[in-house]
Amino acid sequence: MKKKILIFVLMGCTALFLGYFYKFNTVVQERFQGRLWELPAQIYARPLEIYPAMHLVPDLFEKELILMGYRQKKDWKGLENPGTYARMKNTFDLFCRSFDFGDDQVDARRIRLRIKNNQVVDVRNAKSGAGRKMVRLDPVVVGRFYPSSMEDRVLISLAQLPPLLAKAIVAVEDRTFYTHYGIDPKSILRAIVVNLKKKSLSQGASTLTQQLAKNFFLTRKKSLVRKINEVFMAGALELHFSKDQILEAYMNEVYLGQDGKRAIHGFGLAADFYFGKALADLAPQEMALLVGMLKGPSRYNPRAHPVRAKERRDLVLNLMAAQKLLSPSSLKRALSAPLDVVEKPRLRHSPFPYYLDLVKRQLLKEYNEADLRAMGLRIFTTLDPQVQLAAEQAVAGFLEKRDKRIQTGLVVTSRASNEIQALVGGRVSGKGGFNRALDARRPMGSLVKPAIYFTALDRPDMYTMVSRISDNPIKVKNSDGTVWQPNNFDRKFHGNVTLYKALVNSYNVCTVRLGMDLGLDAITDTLGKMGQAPPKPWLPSMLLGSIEMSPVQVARIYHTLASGGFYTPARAIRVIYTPDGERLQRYQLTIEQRLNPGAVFLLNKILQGVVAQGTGKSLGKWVSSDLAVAGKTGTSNGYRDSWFAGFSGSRLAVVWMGRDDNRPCGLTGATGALQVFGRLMSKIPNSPLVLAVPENVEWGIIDPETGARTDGNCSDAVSVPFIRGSVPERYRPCARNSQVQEKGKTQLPQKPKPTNLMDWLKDVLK
Amino acid sequence: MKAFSSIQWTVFIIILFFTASCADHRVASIPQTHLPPEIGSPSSNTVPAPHPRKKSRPPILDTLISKARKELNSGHPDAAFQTLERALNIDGQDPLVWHLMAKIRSMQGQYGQAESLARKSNTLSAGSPSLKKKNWRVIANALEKQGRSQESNLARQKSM
Repeated sequence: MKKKILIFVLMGCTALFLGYFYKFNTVVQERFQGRLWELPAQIYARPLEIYPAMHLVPDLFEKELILMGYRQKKDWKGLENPGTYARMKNTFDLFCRSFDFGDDQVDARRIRLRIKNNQVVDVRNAKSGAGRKMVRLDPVVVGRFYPSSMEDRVLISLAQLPPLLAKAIVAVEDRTFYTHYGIDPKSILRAIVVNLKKKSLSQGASTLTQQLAKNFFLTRKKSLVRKINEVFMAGALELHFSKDQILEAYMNEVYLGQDGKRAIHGFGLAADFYFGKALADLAPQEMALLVGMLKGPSRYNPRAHPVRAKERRDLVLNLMAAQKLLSPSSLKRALSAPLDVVEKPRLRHSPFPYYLDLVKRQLLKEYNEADLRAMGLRIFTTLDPQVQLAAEQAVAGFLEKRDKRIQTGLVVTSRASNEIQALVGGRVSGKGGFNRALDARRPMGSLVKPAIYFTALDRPDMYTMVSRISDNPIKVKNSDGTVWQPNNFDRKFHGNVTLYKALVNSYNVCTVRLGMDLGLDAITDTLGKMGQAPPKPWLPSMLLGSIEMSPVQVARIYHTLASGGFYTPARAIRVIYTPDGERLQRYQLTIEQRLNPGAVFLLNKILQGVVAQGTGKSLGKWVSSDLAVAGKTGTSNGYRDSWFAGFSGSRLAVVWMGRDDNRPCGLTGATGALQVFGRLMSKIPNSPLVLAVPENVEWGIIDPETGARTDGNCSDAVSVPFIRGSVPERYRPCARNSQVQEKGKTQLPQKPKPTNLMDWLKDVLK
Repeated sequence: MKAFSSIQWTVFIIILFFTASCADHRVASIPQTHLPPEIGSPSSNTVPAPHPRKKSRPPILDTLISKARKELNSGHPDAAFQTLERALNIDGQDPLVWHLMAKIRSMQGQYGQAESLARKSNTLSAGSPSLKKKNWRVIANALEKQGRSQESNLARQKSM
């Protein structure tokens, strides 16, 4: 009977045991089938591509290197590891990191580049001396989207793992790792004896497998039940996975430190976090330090407790030598080496939170947030760190001694592809918060006028650049019966003025008259084609910019002008890869012709006039007139909003300044936003704006006095572009005294030589 | 290989303007690069109308363009398009880059984009009539594929 009961109990125990094991076995299997770790998404800036003849400002370049996490060394001999650079005046030596660009995988390599007069004159391979056509550098990390656990890691495979490190871990943490079955009974017994003697649970006997099981599935609390569970788990792990797989998982899982809220997991990230290096590049003493930290990442934190950490490191080094992992000579060398921990973790905060905000919003339209934070996506953006830094400096420089309540929103895009290169959402760039570039919708003021003048120029049978419109007082009836009487900024009326002059000087009264003649529907239609139709109701006051837009929306419509009438959706993301290198999504350039290129050309000519001689003239203080920037100033009622939108041959930028409480900020478009635009453009490379002449444009020689055609030898005649077929038929021969003398005098120009492309209209279209 | 720097180009263009502006009978100091001969003004007789954008390409752009061509020939149109986008970031006004993009889209059957990109290339290729014709061929084909045969015929005429 007793025997029966015993057998029964034994069978019951076995069933219980098996059942218990089965439970954990299932958990382990399920876990390893799915995603092992939540990996944060990495957001990269555009990789810097360096090639001979490229415009590169040495100081801006060095700033980007620092943002890339490159550490400066004294000279090229000091470049022992990837991620370092040395600068001798304008010659840079780089030890570039290896990087997977998605479309190309490059290895670590040394290059030397020389810059002269802000231009790259030479790029070569430092070792072989061979010249390079182009070098792509690993990009700045703009930020990361962390999983809710705030765990961060850089996954590594066993193949990427230095063998010495693996051996050191086994030697220190679990000497019998390769022979046991997940648990090590001998060490457990030893631990029990020690703990009984000390009457505490101080001594652990966990194998690596147990530690992994604990980290993966169980709480950190020390209890007997957990310990038992841990043993079962470890057994299940050993059943399903090879020793190498377990070791690899352990190396990626283990916790190795804290950076604010961010938890540093795995050796891959720890190598970067403590030494700024790839795991493969670690020296023996550096490996020993990390292995030593397994015992207590905060207790042996080399930044907080360097002495204790070094003692621990040396202990591990000696142990490694005892196990014959290190020769006596390398042990000596390693022991004498300093800790060499890098100063600051470089991934702590995003350097560009406003831009990151933009990227995140675009991603959240297509991905759910939990996936975004856990899938380990590699996201390549269009951010240009040099432009971004220049933009932040431009804002800071302008606002330095001004009212602290003045805020700003700024966006820079490339003219060709409308990639967003920089975005500033407020006066303090590093902080983030309310993103004015995206969210501050403010009356656009005179920035709306180009839409009105385009609508006119697009009707060549009625309007040309030299058509005259009346700037005399006008009364406009609103739909509610009230009467609106717009006034000019200078509170004067200017009689009959040409379309050109009206826009160059941003006259309000004639603009309202022109807009009312064209009809509000036509204007809103134009705005819609440009990229942003205003919401109803459409009131006459919109002709002077009562329409509210954010800087990014304004950039959208001005880009359609900058691109010659081709609407191009703005992009902040180029491509997204999964951690396995698979391309998840590519955001490609698309364009759509929306506006008559001829009319856009005429309009852009006038916008160049705005900067050359009109309301945007003060830009000349910042950038050379040879750039022939086209732009428009905008000021809303009572100096509440200060705007400038403009473009060079290579970039477009829109700047808004004003106060969050919508009170007057005391700035006009020209005294505020334009100054920031100028500061920015003066610091970054720009090519001159050369407007390509569309097929449907021809030139006419015009007498500016009458607007009639005239002869080319009239001294005050001017060549004017027209949409083909709209050159005035009316002809007026030039008066005798105004003819240029045929010979003799021609050697001496009567007027100073034009210094920019727009001087041809200067003086003559008065 | 000796590369012409952008500074050298700027100087060259400035000299071009300078010489142009020194010529007889300047009309109100117009450094006009685009005086079509049909205007028949004295200036077009005396001022040698400089070719718009007839500058040779910087070497890096040549490199990227031939890379894109290779990718296209080896059956990787997406990679080629990506390479051309990189080229645009170096010089967004090169009509050949836009033309090749148009060709890629046409090959991929994205006719709307093919048409737009070819039109864009055309706005920049005043100095290259042969490229213009090629663009019109792309446009004509794209229009035909979209069932706009009348417009397509007009475009075809321009490509001749």
